[in-house]
Amino acid sequence: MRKFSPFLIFLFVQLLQAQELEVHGYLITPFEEPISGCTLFLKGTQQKVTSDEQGFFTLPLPFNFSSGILQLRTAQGTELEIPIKKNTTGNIDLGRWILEERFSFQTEQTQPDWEALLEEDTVFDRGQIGSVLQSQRDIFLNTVAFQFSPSFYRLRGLDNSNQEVRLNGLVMQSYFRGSPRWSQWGGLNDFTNRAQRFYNGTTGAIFGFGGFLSTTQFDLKPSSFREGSKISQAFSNSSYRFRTMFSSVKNFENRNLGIGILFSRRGGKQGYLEGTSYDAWSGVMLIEKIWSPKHQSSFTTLFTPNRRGKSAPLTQEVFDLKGRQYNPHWGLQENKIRNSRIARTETPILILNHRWEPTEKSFWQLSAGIILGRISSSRLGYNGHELLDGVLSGGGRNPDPVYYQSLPSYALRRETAKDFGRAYQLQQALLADGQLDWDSLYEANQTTSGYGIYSLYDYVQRIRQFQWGVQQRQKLSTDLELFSELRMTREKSTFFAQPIDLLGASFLWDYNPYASEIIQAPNQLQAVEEKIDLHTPFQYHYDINTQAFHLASSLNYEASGWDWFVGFETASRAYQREGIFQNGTYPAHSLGASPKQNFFTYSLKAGVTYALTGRHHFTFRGQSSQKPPSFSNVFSNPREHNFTLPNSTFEKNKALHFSYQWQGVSMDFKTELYWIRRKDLQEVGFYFADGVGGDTALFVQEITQGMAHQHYGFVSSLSYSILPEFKVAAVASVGDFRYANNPNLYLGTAPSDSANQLAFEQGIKTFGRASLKNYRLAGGPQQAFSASIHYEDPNFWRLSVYGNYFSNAYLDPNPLLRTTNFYTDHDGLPFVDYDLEQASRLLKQEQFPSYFILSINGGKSWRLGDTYAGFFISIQNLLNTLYKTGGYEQGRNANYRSLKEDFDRDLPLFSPKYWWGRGSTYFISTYYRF
Amino acid sequence: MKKSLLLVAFFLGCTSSVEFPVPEAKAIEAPELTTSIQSVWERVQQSESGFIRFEETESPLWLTGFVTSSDATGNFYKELYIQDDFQKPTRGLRLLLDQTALHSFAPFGTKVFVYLNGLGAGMHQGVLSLGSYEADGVALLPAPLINTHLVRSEQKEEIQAVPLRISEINPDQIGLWVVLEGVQFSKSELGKSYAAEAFDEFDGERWLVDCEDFRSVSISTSVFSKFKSVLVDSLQGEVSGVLTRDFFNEKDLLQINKLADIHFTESRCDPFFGESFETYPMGRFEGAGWINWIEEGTQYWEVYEDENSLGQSLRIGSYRSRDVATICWLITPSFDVSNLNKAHFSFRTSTAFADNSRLEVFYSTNFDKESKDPTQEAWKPIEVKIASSADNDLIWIDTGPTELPKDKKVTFAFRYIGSGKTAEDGTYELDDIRVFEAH
Repeated sequence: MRKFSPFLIFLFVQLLQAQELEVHGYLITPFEEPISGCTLFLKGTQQKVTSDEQGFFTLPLPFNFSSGILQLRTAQGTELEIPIKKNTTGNIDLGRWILEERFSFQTEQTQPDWEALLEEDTVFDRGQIGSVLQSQRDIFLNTVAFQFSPSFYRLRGLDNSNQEVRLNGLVMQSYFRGSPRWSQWGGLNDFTNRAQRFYNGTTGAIFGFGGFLSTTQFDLKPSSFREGSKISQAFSNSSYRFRTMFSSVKNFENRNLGIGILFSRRGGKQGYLEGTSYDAWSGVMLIEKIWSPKHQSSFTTLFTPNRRGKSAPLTQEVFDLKGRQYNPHWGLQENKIRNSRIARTETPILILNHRWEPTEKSFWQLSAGIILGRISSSRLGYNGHELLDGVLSGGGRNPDPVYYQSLPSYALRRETAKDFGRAYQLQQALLADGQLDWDSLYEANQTTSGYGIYSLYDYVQRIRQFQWGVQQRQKLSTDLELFSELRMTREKSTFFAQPIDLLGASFLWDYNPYASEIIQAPNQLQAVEEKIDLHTPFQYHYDINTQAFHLASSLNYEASGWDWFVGFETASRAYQREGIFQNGTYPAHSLGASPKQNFFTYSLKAGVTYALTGRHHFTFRGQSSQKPPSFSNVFSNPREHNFTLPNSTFEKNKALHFSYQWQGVSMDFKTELYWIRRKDLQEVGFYFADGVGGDTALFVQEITQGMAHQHYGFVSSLSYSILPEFKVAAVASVGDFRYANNPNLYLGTAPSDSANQLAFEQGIKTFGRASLKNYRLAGGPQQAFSASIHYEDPNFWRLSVYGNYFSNAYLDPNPLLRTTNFYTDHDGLPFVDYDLEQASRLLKQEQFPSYFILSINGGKSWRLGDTYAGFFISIQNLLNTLYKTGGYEQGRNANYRSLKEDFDRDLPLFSPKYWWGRGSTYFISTYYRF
Repeated sequence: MKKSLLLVAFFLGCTSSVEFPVPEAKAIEAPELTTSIQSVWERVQQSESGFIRFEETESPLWLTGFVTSSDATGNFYKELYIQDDFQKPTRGLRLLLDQTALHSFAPFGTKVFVYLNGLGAGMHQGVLSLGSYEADGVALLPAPLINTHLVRSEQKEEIQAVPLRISEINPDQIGLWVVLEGVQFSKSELGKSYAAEAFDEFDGERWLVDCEDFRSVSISTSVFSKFKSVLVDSLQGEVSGVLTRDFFNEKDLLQINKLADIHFTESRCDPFFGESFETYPMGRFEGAGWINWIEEGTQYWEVYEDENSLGQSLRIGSYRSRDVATICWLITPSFDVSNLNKAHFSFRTSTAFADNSRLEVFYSTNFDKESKDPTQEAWKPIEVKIASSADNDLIWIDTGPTELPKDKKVTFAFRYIGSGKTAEDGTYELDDIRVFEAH
């Protein structure tokens, strides 16, 4: 009998009337193996029982029982609910329940394409990051995961850098951005959906401190999965067009060896958005060896190479002309769609785990893993120059078909000299084509002496990470358990750009055409004369070395009625940049190692749950934690120099949650109130600002420091089973997420005469405080509501209909516009034409219109002898509702004058860019299990 | 296990290579040529308004030309100069195109074809130009239409510049790629950048002087050009460029594509005497050997500098002087030109509100420095072109060389005559007084 066999496949349940009412049953796998150690509850009561060695269980029912829900919980935390009901004879044979297939309903849902949703250039895009969740049986989390996520709803308004994801004990986190990279385990749904555990908010009984927003654990090992194979085929028009997956798990009992493999392929020429190609392969190999009852080892290998064509946010003007599916990043080449912005992830992950249980009270796990590989994102270079007579010569034009100078608004920009003819021509050209003209780029490269004006290049991050950890769980008494973890990480990330297609040219020169003096132009002084070939680093090249250390422990008490926990973490993080190129603009500060940036943090957490009669649970949890910034927010412009932010510090976060749950017989109600305060956040953004210090235009790094956010609100969910087969549910999430102070703002820029005139010192200038207080945080709707009905037929089909309503989503405010720079002329005095009323109109935060989304999903499964087949269909946004999911103010208009001039136009040139939600999309999945 | 191997094979079979090879160059079909740059010029000359439109309904009109301008260094912007031949051109034309990086489409020397139907043509800012038609004008052709009207060929030629003397420049050569030999930057320009001085707006103009006759023409450089901060070349040699007109169609300009178009290898040919007033303090002009003498009224010659001056220059005027009469003399030092081979004299002038006031120039071979009254001297007038009310304001005009007698003592005098009356209170500017040998 295996110790962990959570994947209940079969349930044979009988409801019998004896002296007392009882529900009997036994749990077996499709291969007739009994499942032991599974806990069964009668929902809403404290009645529980554990299945025995043969898989049998007997659960006493209340005397007056007529209907209710049987809940199953496995050691892995998987949950399942089966409605049971006494009929007139008082004797119901529920027959054989094919539990596993019912799981499928939950897990095979449209995996909202996290990777696709999460992508895009975070450099120029503040905060377009959805929050990612996987659901369990919780109606609220389920709704969030599958209904709210496509709208970029964020749980408690927190972005996914507050999320911790663990894969077999190791934390999967990008030190660069702070968030987990979901594409690293994309396409492994058969395994990841089953081996997943989600902890919302502050949590006690886990290894490590846990994420501020949530903690997701994937425990991939063959013994967690049922034996057998599965092949599935899905079709969609959302991110990819098809997905083919094959998985197989085999346990060789006689050798105490388990093996699991999975291959999948996702692909498509384009998804819902034009030109968003998708090409992903996924593979995983799990090997588990049981040396003895006390020792087990497992070895996990993951590789999910994928490449996706990206899309772009659109201004209202472009949207009005080209519609919601428009994507300017692609064009036809040889009649094939070619997207210029391809994001690729190729990061193999290898993990070794060893588990040791010296006594029944003690559990040790040693985990070690390496992450290798590269993450890249391509783009078109259009500014290749050569050095001629000591000056740069060449350069192309921005090939972006919706570059602002190619839009009708540009021809109409002069109030007194609107060129309607030109605007018409530009409009017609955009309507008729509006895509990249690849051929013209090749032709242009033929006009040079051999160097490329245009080229396609990758921004590359090459990762080498080694991580190890020791986890220990010790039962101190029957009620008291101690969880401890020690974890260390070393990472070397190398960043560089490299040409991946010279578009017919022979080589590239490596100059920065924006340098103010020719002496500053070389990107690498060591190789000024060097011709850059394909796949050779250019533009920038540096390493970031990261060292992280975590020690965390929590004490957990669990007894009838009262649960509580306390925990702490102490951690350190060190970042160091090591420049490989000597940059012409920063010859003294680009090469070699930067000073180390060290952060030491301490965090505390605690929580208590009180269960009143088993039907009512009151939980109060809180934490005060500290988190170092990701290194993209520590170095002000690491592509060019070693400088760090002037006063780098770590985040100080506080969160309090109070929740109440009422589990009735056929009703489940849950509500949570939360209050969050985040302090000392820092952020670096990059853009071209027109109107710095009066009338100067500069490419700037915008550094926002000492920022505070406040989040509070509540979430509630209610589900009610009208009949065992028929359930209605409602979910409400009402939040208020704001900037809670006026952070300091600095601008960084390359040294130049104009920067010196504006009193930039060492390329940095303080702009005082940005008046952001009370602006709403961008990033999804702050209010979301859902009502749904669910029908589950005993003949193994089901249907759910969801109506979702979203409101209070806001545009991301640009901090520079909220500083004194906004109204200050070059002489330091306010603009003579400054009008406070106009100014507040210009700076008013845009609230997006609220919207309603109708979605539907359903499926059916069959048993065919010893094998199973089924399908699942989901249609998202059935009504094809048009909505904005996010957006940001373009930084270009940096002061009152330029902003007002632009907004007084009927068609502004630099109006906000918006992300538009998808229209109706479908997802169909079929599978066969054998 | 066999099953899974089969499946793996199936997955691999789906792989598609997404590499994009370099597309083959498209064969360009040369259109049938039905007109020429010269014909366009003639049609423009015939029209009353000076602007014509080639109707869509006309039979297809195609002309050909060779590209002579390049925006690779940013010195040309949204314009492309073409001329009718690469060896012996007769006429040039400017295409006004709402597009940047034209060099990456049609670099220097490319043979291009232009489809005229639907376009407008005319003398735009003094240059024969093609673009989109506007009532009484031509404008930049919108980017989406460029592909229809401008087709390039695979033919690319070495353009042979038309050799030219500054004194020979005539309007028919505007728009051609020319080469000026034996020229240098005027002494007053040395030490300046091409277009990055504080007073440069839109363009920087720098005087180029012919070493033989010391006639001059400006080189115009955009303040957006990549070489704007480079200092002007101090040597002497040849300069190639597009001959064009300034924005106001007031003077001829030479516009280069790249720094290498200035090919100076010889030492400078500075004149026997040259004065450009760069070293004097502002205000009343006082120089060793010079006499700044008021005969009537209150006005004298003063040193000044503004956006139209040639560095520092001299000026005089009687505006608001309340003078009943203003007469002021500027007398140069005396020169011994007896050893010079064909001594010549030249200078440059410009005016502002030149009305009935006058500037005259004289010379004398026996002027006495100690003379208390220069009017008593035997001054002989020099008949040269001096800026006057007939010329545009603020345009510098070179007198051209005047041969001098072989004498041991030649002195020049400039006499301004005006008054405080509004009809006689013009201002005259003076600069670059030169005495030099000419061949």
